[in-house]
Amino acid sequence: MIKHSLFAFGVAAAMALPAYASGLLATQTVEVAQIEIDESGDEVKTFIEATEIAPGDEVRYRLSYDNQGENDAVAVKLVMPVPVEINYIEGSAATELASVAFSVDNGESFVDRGSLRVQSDGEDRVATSEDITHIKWTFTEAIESGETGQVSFRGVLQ
Amino acid sequence: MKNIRYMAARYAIAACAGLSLAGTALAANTLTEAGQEVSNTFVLNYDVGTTAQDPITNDTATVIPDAVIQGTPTQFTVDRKVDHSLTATNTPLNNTAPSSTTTLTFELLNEGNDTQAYSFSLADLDNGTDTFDASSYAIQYTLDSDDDGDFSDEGSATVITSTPTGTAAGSADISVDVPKGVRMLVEVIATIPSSTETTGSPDDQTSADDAETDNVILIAEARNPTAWLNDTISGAGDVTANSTGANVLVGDAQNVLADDVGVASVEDAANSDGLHAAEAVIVVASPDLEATKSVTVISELIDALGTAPADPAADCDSATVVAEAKSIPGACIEYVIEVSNTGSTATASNLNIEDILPDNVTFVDAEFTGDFIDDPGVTGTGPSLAEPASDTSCDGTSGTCSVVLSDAALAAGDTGQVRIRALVE
Repeated sequence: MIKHSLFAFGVAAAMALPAYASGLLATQTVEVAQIEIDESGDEVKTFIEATEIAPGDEVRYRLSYDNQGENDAVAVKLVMPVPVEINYIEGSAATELASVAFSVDNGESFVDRGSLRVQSDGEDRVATSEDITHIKWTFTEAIESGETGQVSFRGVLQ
Repeated sequence: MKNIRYMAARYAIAACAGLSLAGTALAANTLTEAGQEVSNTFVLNYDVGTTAQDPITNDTATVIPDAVIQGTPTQFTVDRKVDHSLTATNTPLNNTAPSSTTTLTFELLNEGNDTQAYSFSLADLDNGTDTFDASSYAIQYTLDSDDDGDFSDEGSATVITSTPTGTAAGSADISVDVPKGVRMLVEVIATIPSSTETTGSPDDQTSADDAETDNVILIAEARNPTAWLNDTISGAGDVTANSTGANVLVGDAQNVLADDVGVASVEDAANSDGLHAAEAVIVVASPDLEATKSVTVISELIDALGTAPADPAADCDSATVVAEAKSIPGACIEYVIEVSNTGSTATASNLNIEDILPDNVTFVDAEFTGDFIDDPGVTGTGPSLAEPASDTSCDGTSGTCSVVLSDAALAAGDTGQVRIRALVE
């Protein structure tokens, strides 16, 4: 009967929603820290394009997002590697927008910083910042339609 | 904000953070090479409702199923940090003897992230803290080519100049390439003048007298090597300067001078300028001479019957000590002038010991014994002893009875004697 087939159609349609192909934009940038001394002698740190950068400099990788779509993005997870030439600055990935976890095995697994351990020289030890290979941000809230924001981490160029 | 000073936010990095092996091996530094490109990416996963969406990434190299590519990997080129340090390693150089050559040692370390060459020059202070100047200097270097912290396994040093210039700018005395993180031993060989002060002159910097100092500043300037690690070189041997023109994000590395100040008086204290200097001091320790004179009655020379010898001078010359001999007319006596160099290092040279015999004796003979050696600074082979003719009756004047030891030297810790036999008149 017709009523029966309508239900079937409804269920099938829910499962066949097209992929959300556009709307959420993400841009990664890298900047180098620069310290300004203002008139009161206070240090003010700003970040500028990394056109002049040498070992010892502080860099910041930033992921800026912009939800230009109509729907909220949920269960957002962002992974950024820490390049081998960069030594992660502890705590610099922290943000109110997400919980942060770290990997020492090239992104295979992630745990919180306090639980991060490595096997080294036959012994099990707490991972140092040099051991970190990837950072994952798990957003606690949705990125709503029209919302923009950013997360970042900082490191020192070796 | 007006009047802002800009500083790069630089962190100090341990230069030798590499492998540490048992023993003294050092690794070249682990700074990221100049010209190296650092690349990064991201992957962003999300749902709409309960439906997973295609992940977003800028990674164009790794295949991520169903990924939406936005942008390209984030890249920058590591610039060239030009940084070196120079350290004096054996200053103060104490106990330097006059009329000698001595070597000041310095260690240069390439603390940058690319290969570098260096030129050297010497500033010699004549401003009062420095009270003598070496009469000549030479500069030579030894590269720690196997990077093991040991220079003794590198063969002989390379002389860079025997006539160093006083200012760093434009110095043409350039070393071989020094890899990043590697050390170079630099030696300044100084010729120390004698300690003879010019008579009647105030201290004129040309004689090395006891406790005087020669302050020497060695300056190392960064120069382009024969090849960079990752970029094509142009102007090998030129002074390495900050890159001019617009900074670029990627492409060839740009030079960033990052050295600090070693000796402000010869460097630009306000900026990293490609110069690093170190000061060392040579301290003279003259020999310390002590002299004593003694006289001993050797023998009364008369026989058991009270008869004087036929040739008292000959007898006195060969006489041996007789206990409790008295100083009576005709007795044989011996003067001994003993000179000791009680200094720890320096040889006493240019020795001249003169003894004038008194009026009431007849000279017999003189000799020198002990550790006196030839003075290489005096022509001819010494030591030389000038003495009057045997049997000369002395009158207390130098023209008649003077015994002079010359062309003689005494090494540190040595002692020598001048022995004079005479007859009491």
